[in-house]
Amino acid sequence: MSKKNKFLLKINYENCKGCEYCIITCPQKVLSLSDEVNKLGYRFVKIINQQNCNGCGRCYIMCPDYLIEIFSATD
Amino acid sequence: MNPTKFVKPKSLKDTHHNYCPGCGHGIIHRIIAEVVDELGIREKTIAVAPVGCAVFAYDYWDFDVTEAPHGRPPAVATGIKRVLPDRIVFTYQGDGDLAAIGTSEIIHTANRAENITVIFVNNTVYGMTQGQMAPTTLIGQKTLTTPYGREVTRDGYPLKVSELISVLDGARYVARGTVTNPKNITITKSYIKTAFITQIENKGFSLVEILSMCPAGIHMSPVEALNWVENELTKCFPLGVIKNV
Repeated sequence: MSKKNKFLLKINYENCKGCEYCIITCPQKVLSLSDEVNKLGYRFVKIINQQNCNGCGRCYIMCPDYLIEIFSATD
Repeated sequence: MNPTKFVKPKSLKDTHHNYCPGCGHGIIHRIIAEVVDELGIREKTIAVAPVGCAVFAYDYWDFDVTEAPHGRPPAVATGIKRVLPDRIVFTYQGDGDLAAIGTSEIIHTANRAENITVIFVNNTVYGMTQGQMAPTTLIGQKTLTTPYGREVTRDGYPLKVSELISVLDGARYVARGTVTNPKNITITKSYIKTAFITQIENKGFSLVEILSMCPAGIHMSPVEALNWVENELTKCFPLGVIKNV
């Protein structure tokens, strides 16, 4: 069995302003805009396909509010 | 869970910042903080914040930051650098600050080859006051003060600050980047790093112009603003290293 890295996205939803930069940048379509709003009154970004995340970090690089952090774990 | 390299840099505070959705300032703050961390100069960095949206930069960066009157950060940075020559001093300015009211300061600071770094954020409008025409506004671009578009006969041409500064003998490193996609952000970060190294090596004046999004100021959605900067703004302001001596 080969060991495979899993990546876990951590998003601070409460401060998200819904600019969608991470959504248009993600090549694996992991993220999507929620229908709900947060305390700031913005539709925030939610994770829809966590298992597809390959840890490329494009969402982290694009987020203007640096709300996304990526952690890794080995199976 | 192990942290990857994609976690918040130490030079950024946890403060929630007040910028509008899609504003480029947040990205630029982060890449500056990453460069400061990578160079290990956090304890001796002094930033000079402008008048404009980035006026609260001291709330976001976890190193020393001071304020300057409108357009005067290069003058304040000159004073700090001459008194404390071992510190890394940089100014963070917008186009209304640097290219309009502060034109005199920036030209003479560059001409004196002051050993400071200037980060020039160009978003083509006065963002804080909701988008009036700035010297860098494109021809034909609609703003609050040019509702029918900027006209050459009335308003002149967009001011290309980087090209203007690059002809001065005192300027050692001048580059222009943008923050519209991960590739451009990485390239812009390398420009900022080179500019800081230019200062660390006591070579003289360095300037990095960054084309940025101001969705609220140019009255577009964040994604539209991103595409507009990438496709329209870069035609007028070509990207790349303009001078490196």
